[in-house]
Amino acid sequence: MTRLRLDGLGKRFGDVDAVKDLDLDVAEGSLVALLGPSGCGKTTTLRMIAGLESPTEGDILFDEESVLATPPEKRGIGMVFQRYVLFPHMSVAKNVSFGLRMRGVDRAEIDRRVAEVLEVVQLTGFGQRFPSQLSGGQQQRVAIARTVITEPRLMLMDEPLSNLDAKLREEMRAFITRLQRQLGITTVFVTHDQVEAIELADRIGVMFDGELVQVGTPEEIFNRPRTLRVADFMGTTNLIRGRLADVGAAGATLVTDVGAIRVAPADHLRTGAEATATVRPEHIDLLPRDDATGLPGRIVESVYYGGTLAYRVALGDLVLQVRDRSTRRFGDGEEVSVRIAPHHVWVFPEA
Amino acid sequence: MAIASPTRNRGHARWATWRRRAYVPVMLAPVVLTLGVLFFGSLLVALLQSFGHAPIYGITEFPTLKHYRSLFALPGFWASVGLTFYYAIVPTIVGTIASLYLALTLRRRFRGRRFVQFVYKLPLMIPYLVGVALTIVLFGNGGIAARTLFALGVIDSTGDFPRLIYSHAGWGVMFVYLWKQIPFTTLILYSVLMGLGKESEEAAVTLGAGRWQTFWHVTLPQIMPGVVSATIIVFAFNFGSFEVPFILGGGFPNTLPVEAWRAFDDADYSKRLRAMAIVMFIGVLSSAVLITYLAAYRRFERLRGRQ
Repeated sequence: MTRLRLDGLGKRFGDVDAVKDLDLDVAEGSLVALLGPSGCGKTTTLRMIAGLESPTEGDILFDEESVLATPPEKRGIGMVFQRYVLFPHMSVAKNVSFGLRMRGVDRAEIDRRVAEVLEVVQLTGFGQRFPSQLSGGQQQRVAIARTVITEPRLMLMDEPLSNLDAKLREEMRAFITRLQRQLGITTVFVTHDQVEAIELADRIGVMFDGELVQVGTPEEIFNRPRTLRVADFMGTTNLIRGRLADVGAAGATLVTDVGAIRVAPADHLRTGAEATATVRPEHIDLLPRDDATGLPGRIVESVYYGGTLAYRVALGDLVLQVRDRSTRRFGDGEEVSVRIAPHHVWVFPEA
Repeated sequence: MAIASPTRNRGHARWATWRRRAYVPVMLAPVVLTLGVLFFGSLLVALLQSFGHAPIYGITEFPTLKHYRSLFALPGFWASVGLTFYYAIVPTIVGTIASLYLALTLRRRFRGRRFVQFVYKLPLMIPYLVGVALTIVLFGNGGIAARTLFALGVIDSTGDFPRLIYSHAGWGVMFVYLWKQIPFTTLILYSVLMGLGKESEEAAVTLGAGRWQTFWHVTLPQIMPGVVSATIIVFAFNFGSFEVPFILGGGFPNTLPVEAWRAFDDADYSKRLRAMAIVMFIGVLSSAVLITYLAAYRRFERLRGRQ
């Protein structure tokens, strides 16, 4: 298992900084997702780790040894591409054994390992087929098999699920998680899909405009985003503006135009500071109006999403989005009580 | 208001069906007729003449094989066949290898790439005969190369310059072919390479393949259709080419197309029938080689799982 460290990594294309001063530490055997919108530099970062692009600044270290002078074929990495990139003129078995054949591994050993890895990716019996005879999901599993058979020090995945349909994507997510845990290969996974990153990764690095703006566990990134942009990128959220009061060991109060909201304790809270808080729609409880523990609100709109009800609730001028999984149902125009638990209210440390 | 009768409706339907069926043949007819008359018509005339049917020359011996027999009995005939293959195959192979290298190089980023991409295509716009003239000016005994070497003291006189043209080694002939055909083959291969993209090569590299392994196992097999198309066109041209070996060749024995021209140009009109026999022989040989080549390639593709 290999530890990967990126130290002040940068890449400039002409006048454009594709990646800027990027520091990232990927622990042995862990899966880190680089998450960000198209063009944010995540694929360029991955290609630099693979050796397919040369950084203009910084260093890439495998187990604390720089690999900048090592050509891609000697880095011991495996890369899974968005468009699978199977060799169309080779059978599944030949595709999977490619890396071993290039290393001159003997025939019997190749046959044994191909059979083994095809079993792991649940493609036993597909060895003689050609890529054109496989479905998208099967092709991506062959691409993964082709990578893991070489026992790479590091596995790099560049949006490997984005060409699959929704159901297959879900199955493949579970498959990749299982495989990565089973093989324990240090993995960097690039995606623009926050759900994918949350489900797969041990840690997520969020990138915007070539910069890594936050690194943390999926739970940290989702519930405690550093900036508004991160919060927004991680999914629908509610923004509540106010002034902080009563900051202490028990937390703080966010005084807003629609009432006071309790906030869980955090180091960056300062009494009297203007603040913006974020609350996820699924973290807001709606109760009948006679419950006095919440803020008074009125249902503006309700939409049924199969198992979930999505509400727009007005609290004075503030309209909150709420996702309710309970069996209770409120009608449009109904008066309700809106309750938000303090540990679900997150005040941004940066505006 | 008019009411359409069932009979009238059936008539319309028949007319519509006929029009639909006739559309493609009618649209293709001008091209098919022109090609048919020019290619198959002249081929038929050549075939009939080679078997002794040439009333325009007052010869009506059909059917006879005597023109073929006279052909095979010609002194130096088999040497001509060998020379024709030599001039066709060697530049095709050398040109394909050079074009592959050039196309792969042009895909890389380097300073002056756009200029090179423009310049390499220039010979495509210049006729073969200009290439022949350039070769004589460059590589003739009194040519630029000979004079330069003489001026530099490398050779004692321009007459000592190695015989690159008017020789059976065919350096001059092949130089002209390569000068014209490397840009052509490069253009085809470069387009195929651009269509292929770099991802499969990058995948190979990340799997541990070196540059040569990547080229041999991944790039070349995927651009083979382009290589095969280009080599077929180039070989067929070289095999039937007349003017270049006629001007720059070493004289007797000549290539088959030059022999055909000489027989056709003879004062004795009966030799025109032998010329047609040579033309038919060139066609059969060239087709046999290309059919065998294509069959081998199809077999290779089937082994790789392509239909």
